[in-house]
Amino acid sequence: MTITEKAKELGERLAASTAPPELKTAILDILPKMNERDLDRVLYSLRFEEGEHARLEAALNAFQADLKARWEALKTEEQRIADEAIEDFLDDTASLGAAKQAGAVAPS
Amino acid sequence: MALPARAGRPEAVPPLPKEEVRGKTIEITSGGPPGGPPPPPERPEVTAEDPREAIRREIIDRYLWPEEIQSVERGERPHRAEEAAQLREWLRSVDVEQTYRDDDYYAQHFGDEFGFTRLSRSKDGEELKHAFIERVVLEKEAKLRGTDSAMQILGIARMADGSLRFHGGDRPHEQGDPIDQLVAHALITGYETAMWLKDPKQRQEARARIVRDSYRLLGRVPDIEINLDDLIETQELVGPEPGPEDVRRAMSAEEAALRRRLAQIQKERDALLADSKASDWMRKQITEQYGRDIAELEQRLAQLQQREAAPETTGADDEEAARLRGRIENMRKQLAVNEQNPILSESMRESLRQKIEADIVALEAEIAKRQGARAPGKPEFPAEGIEITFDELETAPVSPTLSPEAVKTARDAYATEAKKPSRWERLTKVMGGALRGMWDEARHFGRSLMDARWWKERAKTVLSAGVLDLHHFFKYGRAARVEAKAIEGAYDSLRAEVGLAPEALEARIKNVVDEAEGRLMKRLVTYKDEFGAWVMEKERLDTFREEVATRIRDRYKAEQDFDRKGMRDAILKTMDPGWYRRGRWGIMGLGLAANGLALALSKLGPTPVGPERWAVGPPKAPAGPEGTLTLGPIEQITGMKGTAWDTVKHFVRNLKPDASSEEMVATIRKVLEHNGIYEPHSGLWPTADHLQAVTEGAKALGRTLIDAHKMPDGFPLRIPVDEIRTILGIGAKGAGAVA
Repeated sequence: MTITEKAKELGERLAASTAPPELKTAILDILPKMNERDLDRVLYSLRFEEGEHARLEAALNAFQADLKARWEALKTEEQRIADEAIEDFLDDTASLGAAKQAGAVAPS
Repeated sequence: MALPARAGRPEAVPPLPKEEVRGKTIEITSGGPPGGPPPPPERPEVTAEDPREAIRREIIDRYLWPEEIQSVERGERPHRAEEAAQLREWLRSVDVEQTYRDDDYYAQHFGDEFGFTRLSRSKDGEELKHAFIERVVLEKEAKLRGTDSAMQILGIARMADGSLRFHGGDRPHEQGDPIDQLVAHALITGYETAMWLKDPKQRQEARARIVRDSYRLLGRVPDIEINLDDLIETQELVGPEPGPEDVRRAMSAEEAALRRRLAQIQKERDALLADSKASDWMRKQITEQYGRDIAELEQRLAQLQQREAAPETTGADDEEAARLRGRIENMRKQLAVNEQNPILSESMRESLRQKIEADIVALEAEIAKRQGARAPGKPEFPAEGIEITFDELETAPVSPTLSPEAVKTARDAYATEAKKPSRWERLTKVMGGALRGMWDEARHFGRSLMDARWWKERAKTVLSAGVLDLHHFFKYGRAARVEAKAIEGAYDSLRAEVGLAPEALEARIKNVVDEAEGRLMKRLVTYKDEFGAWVMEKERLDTFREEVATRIRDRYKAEQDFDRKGMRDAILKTMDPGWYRRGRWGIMGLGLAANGLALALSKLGPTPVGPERWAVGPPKAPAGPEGTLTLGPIEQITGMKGTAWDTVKHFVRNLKPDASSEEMVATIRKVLEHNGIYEPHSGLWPTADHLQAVTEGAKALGRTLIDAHKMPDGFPLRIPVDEIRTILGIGAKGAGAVA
């Protein structure tokens, strides 16, 4: 890679970076003071950053996919919970009704 | 390195996984999961005569003892990367405070370590519990740091599923190839062992050899020669500095490289011009474009030659020897300072002493060699005219700064690209808070590195406020709390993206409840016939609705707790180790600061970038006359734990266990004055001179008065160690025994 290509890549990557704006400005400001090796170092950091971000994004996507699948599966369970609640409610109603009929509880 | 050369491999090696490549079953050199994704086409193809297997065996045999190979292969001991992961888990899970409350917890985490015991704590001179814990944690951190930096420099990464990938140190942004545990273990072990070599030259050579071996395994040469190791060396107290010989070597290497590049460009240009199909316009473009590159290279060559031809100076060797003697002198002073530094544990002090003494011996040998090698008439290297900055270590070629065209290209590219939406827009949106925190940490790291350099130049102690402050900052988990908030925010955003926002979930619950109510009504009809109309009264149905909703909400809550944990794990495993614990190595692991950021910050000079959230580092002492050591006042910065009072009390108890309450009051008063903190409700010190001192303290730090009741936990409290020592009557600058 020529220095010009590296400089171009640096500019592009820096623009896309998640670094705070003041840091980006600082790096752009000191460009004239840098030599090629410094350029390599900054470029290296930026490439590394991209790798780390890609990994983070992939992890978040995987997490999201997992999240979606599990909450989808939860729908069945919601039905089960509702069914149980219905059964419990009916049981209560039956016992309460029986008690009322037997005169144990005053009709409301 | 004196490791044994062995002839064959033991029989216990398990069969390597097999893979079908072009219809031929062959063994591959890696332990990656069989049936995994096929390698991308750009990787060198694995053939039946793959030389890498031989290289792999050679590496394993070279860096490991037979017993170690066997025990790793049999799974009796974890391989290095696994060990580091376990260590990291330990460090992450350990809660120092809990060791004081919970004996079982303490025994579980620290029971195996040698040192403090409950039985011995009352004896004089025995290690105290907090010192013991501090030492164990520091030692484990140092070990982890060693393995982490070795893995990073070699380019070995441990994935979330425990598999290892190897990309080479120069392509950290790539996924890399799978690598088996044993060879990774061998490379890392070799690298770590090399770090123990005392002679800096030998150490460097041994490490370079291992790095070369690792590239042989990849079947390629490094893309760019970036040595992260240099960065680590810069943090050391007495790392190698480039001598004239090194500069000469670097210059001749660079000259050769420039000439090669020039020849290559000229050849390319000639080939393009010789193409008969090229139009005149194209020829013109080619000539111009290549002409610029050639002119640039020629200019750099001319500059190099100019430097080499600079007039010789006499007495360069004497100057060099004097410089080395000055360094030795400074190291001795450093040694004396360390001996009295209350912050250091005994083991740290011992290891620092050994290291400094070894380096003094090496330097003395170098002086003797230099004086012996001096011969009359021998051309001496010009010391004048060449400025070696700290960054330009041996491997760094000396080259001119970027041309205005290159700078313009970079800025133009930045301006163009900044208008487009960033690739990380979503990530920034989701993880904004956490990323910002990460960058702040990186910036902080850059600054501490800069300070370390500044200290080194003036032979000041590296183990001073800045570094230790950082250690305490992480240790007491302030960073972790910040992250918990950021992670919570990210969790909400991610949930909202897949339609699981709280409102959406409420709507979902309502649907289920409505539907359940419908079913219930149908069945209640029979009950109505039997028991009467009361069974279908609105109040009863409302109770039912509430009951179903509560049950579902409870279930949701359990699921959300699980999600939150999963999210945390997903992030931690990815960003590990930097994300959670945020040690210095972690920042390096993330590669944020890496070289570039530290460099950028150091080149900015004394002006800090952005807001100084955690201003660290001692006040800069005025530079003394050449060769003398100017020590500024020792000031330690510590994160406030509980209240300022508690923090100072803890600090004083460490310095002087039997400090009286008057001394304690005087100390806290001094610290409040020094930090410009006022205590509005206390009747302890309403005197005018105290208030005056507090105001001056705040002014000296360039801030307004701080209410003692409103300081957050972890507030950087500046403790004037010297003055406190005077108050406690144990003498300034560490004169006096400390527990």
